[in-house]
Amino acid sequence: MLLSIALLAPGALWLPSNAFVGLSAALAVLCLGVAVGSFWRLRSYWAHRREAARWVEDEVDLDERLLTLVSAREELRETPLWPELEADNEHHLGNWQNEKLAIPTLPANVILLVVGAAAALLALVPGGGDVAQPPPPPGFLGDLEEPPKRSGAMPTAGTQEAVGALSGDGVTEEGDQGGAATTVSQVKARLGQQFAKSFAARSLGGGTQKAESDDEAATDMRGDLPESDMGDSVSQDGGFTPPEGMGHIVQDDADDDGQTVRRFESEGGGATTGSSQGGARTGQAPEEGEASGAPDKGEGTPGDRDPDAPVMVSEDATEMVPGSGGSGPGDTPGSGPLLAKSPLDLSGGRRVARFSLALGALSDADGSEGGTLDSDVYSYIAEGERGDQEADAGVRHESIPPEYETVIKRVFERNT
Amino acid sequence: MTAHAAVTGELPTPAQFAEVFESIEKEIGKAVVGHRGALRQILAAFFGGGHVLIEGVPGIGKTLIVRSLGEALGLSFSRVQFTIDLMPADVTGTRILEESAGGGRTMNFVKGPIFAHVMLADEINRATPKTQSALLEAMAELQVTVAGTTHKLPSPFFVLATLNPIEMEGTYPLPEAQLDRFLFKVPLSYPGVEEIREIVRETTGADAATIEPVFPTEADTQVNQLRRLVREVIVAPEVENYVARLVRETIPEVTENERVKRFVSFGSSPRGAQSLVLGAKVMALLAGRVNVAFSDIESIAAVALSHRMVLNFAAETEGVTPGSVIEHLVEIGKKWQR
Repeated sequence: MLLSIALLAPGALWLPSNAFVGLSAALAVLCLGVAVGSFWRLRSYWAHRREAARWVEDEVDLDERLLTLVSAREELRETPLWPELEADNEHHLGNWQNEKLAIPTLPANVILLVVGAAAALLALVPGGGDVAQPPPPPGFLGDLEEPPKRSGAMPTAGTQEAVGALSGDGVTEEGDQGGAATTVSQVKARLGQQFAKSFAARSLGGGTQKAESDDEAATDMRGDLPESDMGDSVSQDGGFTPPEGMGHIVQDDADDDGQTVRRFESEGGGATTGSSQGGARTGQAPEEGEASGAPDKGEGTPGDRDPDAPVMVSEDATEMVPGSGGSGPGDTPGSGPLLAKSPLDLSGGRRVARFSLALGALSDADGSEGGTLDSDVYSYIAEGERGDQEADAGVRHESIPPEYETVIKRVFERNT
Repeated sequence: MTAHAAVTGELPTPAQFAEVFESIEKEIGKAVVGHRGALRQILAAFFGGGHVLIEGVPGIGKTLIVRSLGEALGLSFSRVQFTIDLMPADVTGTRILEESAGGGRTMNFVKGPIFAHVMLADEINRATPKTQSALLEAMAELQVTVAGTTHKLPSPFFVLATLNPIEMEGTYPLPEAQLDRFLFKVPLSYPGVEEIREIVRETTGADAATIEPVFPTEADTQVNQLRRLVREVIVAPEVENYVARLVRETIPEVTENERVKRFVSFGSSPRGAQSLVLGAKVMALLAGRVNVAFSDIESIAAVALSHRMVLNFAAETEGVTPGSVIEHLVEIGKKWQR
């Protein structure tokens, strides 16, 4: 039981709160059941004299002396030989003890208990440093788990009404959203910090040694975790594959700094999200000078392109247009400088995509180059990533905005 | 066993029982070479209050064992050679007309050889069923009735009958009902080479073995006290259940055992269970216990049950003996012990 508890404790980092509580409750019920069963079995052995005598007779060859003593009829207790029987049993009492009953000084279950306690100590007890108290659980944490509910009719892509429909449900209220995401990140960072400071993590010698601050430790832990929604790539098995023709999507990072998130999507290689500088995958903290992308996913070429160079993607995303900077499916080069000041965050999985292009060849309204053309749409792709079949169907019928199509045509004409 | 215990009627201790038992074995061993196991079983039946049927070829010491037993116990001993013309009165006794000193005539009962503590019925299967039944009635009732008068047999009364398994022509095999009255049926096997050499050395010399009685005085009283002690041995309900199950399994009509169903015509009667427990009680005392163990039952199961089972023709053709069937039951019966 202690071993199970010790294994479950680090699982708090990975498991959702509901699953963790459920597992804990199941484990508690299991422990209770085992304890009750053990006591019941023990009682069946020793509460009944005859059963106990049988057990002793099985263990020690007493020629039914003890069995006769405990099971004889009442009238036999008045016979002349009854005292002889009692004396005989007392005489053989020495044979029942110690080596003949094979009762070890240290039972095996005690050894298991010690091993379980040691495992719990390694996994749960901090090995050093100050252990900060965990923050109070946010009351709105549970709401964040809920997918955004739609009200009214299905929004039309590329229209302000689509954004409005979502905003009406509070999904895009960026204040609450940012606060909740921050709290969740803090909680996870705390848990990661707890585990990183435990004996188990230290003995494992993981990347937590590099952590110099709480935030860095949390970020590192997140980097070691399996792919989650925060930094997920839809090219994983079972992920959503957008239909052919959806070349790429550049998403806004919901900040006002003008940074955009570029999502390259293809049929075979899946999509990889990165900053406009091709730094790191979304949700993963890039380290300086280190390609923190997912080299095991996709077959993209190294990101040696000019950060300001336009990105051109044909409909078949695996076919790169010459001079397009080398970005391709799964390619997330991290060699270029970051445009974003901080790691991009998709707000805990809630994504409001904005079709946006950052094309150096475009002329802005004031005539300068490098302007953007934005179009807020409801992201069916994001919905599709949540496994929503309805959204998947919506994506398949999604239409490209006319102004976007015009820009694409212009780009292709210029390069050809 | 002290004389004080015998006089005051106190129950001897198990240690005293074992001591007497070993003394008897030792005295009989002076005359009888070998047959240690059979001798112990015979003594167990004697102290258990039963009678023994000894089966063996002629000349292997059946009569010698019985005579030596009588001498060692210091009890009266008689021997009857059963033949086809032996009449019941020859065994039980008869009334004869006698003239008194005054010239009168009276019918007086003359006790037969059955009025002894230890009786050897040699080759009992050669007598007619009428004579056999007269003896067997005396064995069961410990009394004989002659001309309307009942005469009590001495106590202890112990019949040791022998059965010759060869020369079966002109014999009257004992009916099952009469066989059932014997507590044990003990087979006597041929002696080994060493035993034969010792027999020759002991019996052909100038000095004959002298058996000293174990009980110098009041032998019958002391033997009865020892028999009472045997009856006092405690039997656990589990052991009783095991005995009942074992006996029950010998009955082909009720058992699920395929071997019994195939080879056994008639199983053991409840007397078999009685003999099992009585013999096991003696064995327990000999082992220094006052309780019966499963091992005691197992040790005497063959001699207590084999003559109570009647095997069929299939068993005879396949060479299956009652002893082998009982061994099989004892082996599978270990699971009934727990």
